[in-house]
Formats: sequence, C-alpha cells, structure tokens
Amino acid sequence: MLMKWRHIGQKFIGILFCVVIFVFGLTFYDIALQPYTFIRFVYWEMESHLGKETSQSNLQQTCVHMRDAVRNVILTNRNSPSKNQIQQYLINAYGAVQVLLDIQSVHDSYYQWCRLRNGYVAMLVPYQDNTEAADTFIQFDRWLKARNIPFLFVQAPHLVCKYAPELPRGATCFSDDNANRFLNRLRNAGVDCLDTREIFKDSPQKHYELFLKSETHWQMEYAFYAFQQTGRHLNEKYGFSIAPHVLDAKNYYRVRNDSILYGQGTRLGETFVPEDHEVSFLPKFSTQFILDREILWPRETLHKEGAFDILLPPGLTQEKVINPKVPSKRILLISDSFGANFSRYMALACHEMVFVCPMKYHDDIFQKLEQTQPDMVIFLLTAREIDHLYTDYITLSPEIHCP
Amino acid sequence: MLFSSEIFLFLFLPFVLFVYYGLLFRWRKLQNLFLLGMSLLFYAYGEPWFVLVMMSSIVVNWAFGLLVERFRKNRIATRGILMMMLVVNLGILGYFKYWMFFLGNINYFTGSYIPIPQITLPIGISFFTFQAISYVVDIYRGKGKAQKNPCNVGLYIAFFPQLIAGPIVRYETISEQIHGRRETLDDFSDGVCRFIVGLSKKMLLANTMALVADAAFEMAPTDRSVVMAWMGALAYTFQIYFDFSGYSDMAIGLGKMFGFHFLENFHYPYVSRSVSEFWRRWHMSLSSFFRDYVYIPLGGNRVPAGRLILNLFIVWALTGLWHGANWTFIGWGLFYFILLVFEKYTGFEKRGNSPFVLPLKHFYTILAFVLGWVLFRAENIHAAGAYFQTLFGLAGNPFFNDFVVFYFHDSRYFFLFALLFSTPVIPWLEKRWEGRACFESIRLVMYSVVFFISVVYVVKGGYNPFIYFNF
Repeated sequence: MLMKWRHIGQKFIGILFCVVIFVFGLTFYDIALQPYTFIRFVYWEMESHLGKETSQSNLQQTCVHMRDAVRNVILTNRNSPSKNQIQQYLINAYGAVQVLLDIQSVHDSYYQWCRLRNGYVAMLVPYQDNTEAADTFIQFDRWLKARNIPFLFVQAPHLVCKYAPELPRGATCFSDDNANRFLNRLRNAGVDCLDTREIFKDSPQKHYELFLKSETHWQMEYAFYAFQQTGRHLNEKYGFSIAPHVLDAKNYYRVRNDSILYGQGTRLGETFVPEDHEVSFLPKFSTQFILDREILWPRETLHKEGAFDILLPPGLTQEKVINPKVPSKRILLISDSFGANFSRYMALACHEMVFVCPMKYHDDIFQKLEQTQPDMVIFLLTAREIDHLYTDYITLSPEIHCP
Repeated sequence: MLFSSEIFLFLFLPFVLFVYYGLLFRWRKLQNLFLLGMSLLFYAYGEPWFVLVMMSSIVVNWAFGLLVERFRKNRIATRGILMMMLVVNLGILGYFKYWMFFLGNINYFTGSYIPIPQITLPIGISFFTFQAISYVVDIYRGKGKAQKNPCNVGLYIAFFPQLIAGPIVRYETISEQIHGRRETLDDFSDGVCRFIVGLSKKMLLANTMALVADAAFEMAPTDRSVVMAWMGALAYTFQIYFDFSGYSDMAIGLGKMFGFHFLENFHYPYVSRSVSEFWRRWHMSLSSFFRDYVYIPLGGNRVPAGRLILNLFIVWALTGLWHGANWTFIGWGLFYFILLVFEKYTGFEKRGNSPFVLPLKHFYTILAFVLGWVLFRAENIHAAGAYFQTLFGLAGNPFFNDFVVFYFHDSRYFFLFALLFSTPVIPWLEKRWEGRACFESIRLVMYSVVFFISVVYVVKGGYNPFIYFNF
C-alpha cells in the first residue's frame, strides 16, 4: 500500500519525461520532420566535403563525410534560441540558476565567460602559443608583397580592456598577452600592423562603453574609430585618398536601441547577462552602395542597392560592396566577426570592398587575389585565440610557392 | 553521441521509443533488429568507420559461440576455439589500443626508431571486446546458449545504453532477456527515474567538478598552489565518480526502459573503510569480470601465498592497463595491488573496528583513492610526480593563491552536493520514509526539478567533457 505512492510518482515522472523529450525534439529539430529537405541538405554538405583531399582511403573518407554531412545538417539546422522560445526560456533558466548560486563564470562549449567587476560579461581567453599562426601571416604577407599587394594587419580589441581588465579575483584572460606576442612577431618580420587597442588607452571607461555588455563584440562606434585609425594610416602610407569627412566622427550620428539580447547573451541567458543596448553609428552624409552578399542556407546571392542601411545587419560570409561615390581603390578585407561592423565603414573608403569571413566562407583566397588584384588586403582579428579557420584560409599550399 | 547531449535526448531517444513501442510493440524480433540498427547508428554517429570493426567483432564472436556449442563435447577443440577467440578479440583490442604504446616503449627503452603508426582508438572498444569475450566464455561454461541469429549477438554486444561506457554486461545475465524480457510501465518509469538521476549526476555535478579539476591539472605547475592542487584532486575524485556512475545510471535506466535489467555498477564507493571494500563498490562489473575471467581461472586465492600475490599482480596490472595505454594507468593499478596485498596480509579489514579507529581507516581509504585518481588523471608519470610534489608542498609552490578563490567561489555549492550525494543519504532516507505520501511527493518534486535543471544545462550546452576516450 505504501509503495502505491511511489509507483504513482514514478509513473508521473515517466510520462513527464516522454512529453518533454518528444515536444523538445519536435520543436528543436523540425528539419528531421522534413525528410526531403534533410536529404537535400545532406547532399549539399557531402558535395562541399568531397572536394577536400585527405590521407584516408576512399571508403573511410566516404563514411566520415557522410557522418559529417548528417551531423552538420542536424546541428546547423537545429532551431536556434532566436527561433525557438522554449530554448530561450531554458537558457534564461540556466542563467537564473547561475545567479542564484552566485556563480560568476559560466562555460559554453568552447569558452569560459565571466562577469567582470563592472558588470560586463566577457570571454576569458586562454593562453595560446600563436607562433605558428604568426608565421602563417608572415608567409602570407610575403606572398602578397611578391605580387605588389600591400598587406595590413589590424588588431581589434577584446572586451577585457588592456589598461583596465576589471577581472574578478583569480580570473585570468590572456587576450592581450596573446595579441602582444602575435603583434611583436609580425612587426619583427616587417609586417605592417595597427593596434586599435591603443585608441582608448587613456580612457578605459570609454572602451567599455563602446562594447556590448552581454556580448563579445564592439559597438559600431568603436569599429568606426578603428576604421578612422586605419583610414588615416591608408592615406599616409598607401596613397589612399579617403575623404576627410568620412573619417570625421562629427559627421556621424547615434541611434540607440535598448534591451537588445545578442548572440552570446541569448546563449548565456538574459538572467545572467546585464541589460544591454546597441548604438548604431550612422553617417549623416549621403551614401550609395551596391551590395552582393553570399547566403549559405539556401545557397544564393543577395543583391541590394541603396544607402548605408543596406549594409546592416552585417553578414558573415562573403560580400562585395561597390561604392560609386569613390572612384578608385579595391580593398579585400578578411576578418572574424569583428570585421562585420568594421567593413561597413571600410566600404565608405574605397570603390570596391570585398569582405570575407573565413568562419563560414572557405573559397580559395589565393585564386581570388590573383584574379582581383586588390589595392590593399586588410586582415582584422580580435585579441583572442587565433582559430585555425583563419590561418588555414591563408596557408600556402605546396603548389603555391612563396619567394 | 553522448547521453547528455541534445541530439540523443531530443532526437535519437524519442525516435527509438516511438518506433519501439509505437510501431513494433507486437514483434519481438523486429524490436531486437530495430534496437540493433539504432545501436549501430548510435555508434556510427561518432565513429562511422569503426562501426565496421564492431560489426566484424559481432560476426566473428557469433561464429565462435556457435563453434563452442557445436564442439562442446570435445574438450580440446573447445579450448582451441576459446584460445582462438581470445587471440582474435585481444588482438583487435591490442592493436587499436596498445600497439602505439608498445612500439613507443620499445623505441624508448632500446633507443630504436621503429615508426609508430597513428592508430585511432575506436570508442568503447574495451567494453564491447570484453562483452564479446564474456559471450563466448559464458557459452563455454554452459551459462547461456549460443544465439543462432547473429543479430541477437549484435544486440547483446552493441546495445547502445552500455556500448560506450559500460556497465560490462555479462552474457549470462542478459541471454534470457534478449527474447524473454517483459516491458512494464513500472520498469519503464523506474528506468526513467534512474536515467534522470544519472543525467543530473553527469550534467550538474560531474561537469562542474570537471571545470575545477581540469583547471588544476592543466595549470602551469608554478601557478598551482597547494590548496589548488588538493581542490583539483578532490574535484577529480568527484568528477570521475559522478561521471562514471552517472553514465552507469543512465545505461541501467535506458536498459530498463526497453525491458532489460543490468546489474549495478557502483555502490557508494567513497564510504569505504578499506581499499578492498572500495573495489567491491567501484565499477563492480569490471572487477567482477576480472575476478571471474582472470583471477579465478588463475587459481584465485586457493593457491600458495607467492602464487596468490602473482595472481593479484596480474589482475591489477591488467586492470590498470585496461583503463588506458599509459604508464599512469599501469601505475595506478599496481598502486592498488600494493594496498590490497597489504590489507590482505595484515587483516586490515577485520581489525580496528572501534569508533576511534574507523574514522582513521576511512581517512586512509579516502587518501588512497584521491591519490590514486591523481595518478589516473595525470598526463604522464612526470606530471603525476609534479602534482604529488605540489600536493605535499614539496615543489616550493605557494600554499594559497587567487586561483583558489576564483574556482572555489563558483563551485562551492557543488562541492557540498557532491560530498552529500557520494554518501548513501538517499537510501537512508528511503529506508525510513519510502512509500509515505509526503516523502513521495517531495521525491516527485525533486525528480522534476532535477530533470528540469539537467535539461536546462543540456540545452545551454556548457562544458561537457567525455572522459571515456581511453576506453
């Protein structure tokens, strides 16, 4: 008789469990309910993998490619928190648990995130021996120099300010240490570098104000100041003629957007991250652009014509922006996600700007460079670990020799 | 694919349950075939190439099983088949798991330069190889009939709940259940509850302890203070227990959901008062496997003292070696060999049971397994040595530093919960109040809350290390 309550309780749990896993499965993975679309996506994925050479046998390679294709389709087409409200509630609940337990740092799959003393949430960057990565960039610079294409490396800042880290006791972040070693090695090898971490060295408060609080990215205005520094450098050293009004902050106005929850904020939970806002930094002067942006899912090219606002929100694939108001100069900008905001302004400075983000786009950069012969190649990376995606993208294969 | 991943919880498992109960309920053979297919898919999701290795192992061992049954009356023939089976199974295991280690050591000790091929270890090979051995040996011992259908052997060897991290299921315990099991709502619900317990152990306790342990072990030795080293050692002690026992709970729970009853694998090992008792409570399926398939055939303890010590040495060296191809694992196994021989020959377990001595015995056991886990976790013998030096303040490291504050601040409650739940507090409560409406209501609420929080952690996708890559 006494065990009756136990059995009832257990049966309730059993039913609850089944309901939860079925409901979540149906909402998270609706791609699984569309078999034709699923197979089509798997086919596309396999197509993109089959071209890559490996040292495995054909059968082994095919097995691995099939597995990777199925995995990628399931994972990339899994509904994200922005599309699935249940997920967002759960992630917010996660944030609430962390706050309840007074936990100041949380992990996602790759990184550790920590609440700074000023309330911002920052990624704690681990130590990286980036010697090899630096050597890859040096090789790339030499390859470009042999073809008379100037190369500029722009160091973007990490949220944790070099001059005022605001880290809690015992927390360590190697963002600046990694960046310092990387820049030193590049400079010693004669690679032209700009360090935008120095822009607000006398006012770290301003550095933090121009970063998102719940995210890892800089606001548009910070990207503008980085562009300003880069533009002046291009004018002085590389014969660019970027108009003074384009580089003057007074010719831009701010539009504030409150209560925004961005990528990392949605992933950590709005209960964990501080309230955030985004400030768009838009030109007051008239602009005109022609944009062609590659979309990955489904595969197509988005074409738009219009003023500065067509460049927002940024894409992270590959895009070409033509600025009819500037008569000359072609720039190739390769960057991580920080380049998205930066590229908006770079498009003001030249006639043609091609922006590539190797996070998602893997075309042959050397072929592209041979064909397009840009006037300038700029590589912008934030002060973090240098992901192999970026070094792989510019790694010279044995067929491409460097003098 | 991990049990504690979204893709398993919300895609794989619902699909399997739906087809198993919704579409194939009346057809046992089709159910078994379906479970086999899904188990192979489960394995192929992580190891698309090595699923072929596992399938070959299934077919080969199925054939060995039939041969043993066919030639049962011919003792010499069956022994020959058994030997061949061991050579094949251990050969596969030896090649994938130990060949690189073996060649590396030859090069090291002889100064030669034999090229070492890069061999990827198929995940779970140690588990499914031992299960395959168990299948043939149990048929040889008459503890089960050979399966005529290779799919049933495949189901036994490759069944996804216990494929990657055990428990090592013995054929004799499962042979009747392949066809003769009965799925009941009570078993299903019990399995779900067990699964939830395992999931929460893994997601909430093991993963959090892993953060501290990994930080301590991966830290530069100069940054690691004495307190941080101890904190890391304790964190790893909890991590490995809750990860492994959590996985076992999930495996047992999943098995029950499909009508299978697996034996228990852990029984609160950290309350042990001797190393001997610890090994009667820790990874019981492995220790019983070595006892029944290695120790007893070698003569067990019915041999002279010298031979007994040799038997124990062999068993514990193999136990260490089974865990991974590294001298740290062998050292770990032999560390326990030394302690077990000591306890055996001093009558340690039977002596000193007064209230004053028992805490000391308990402390000795805790120290033994904590130090053992340091050796187990270290990358190599040198790293283990450096860690031990830090633990005892022999490396000139500071006693305390800010890293301790940072890591302890975030994990302090988890340390408390880990300490609490590594003791049999739940069985103690159940003994007193199980079945009462009030207690069951609280249990129901706790299960729901724990399940909800575990799902939250799964969906969040935080730190979720997989520690069975050596197995």
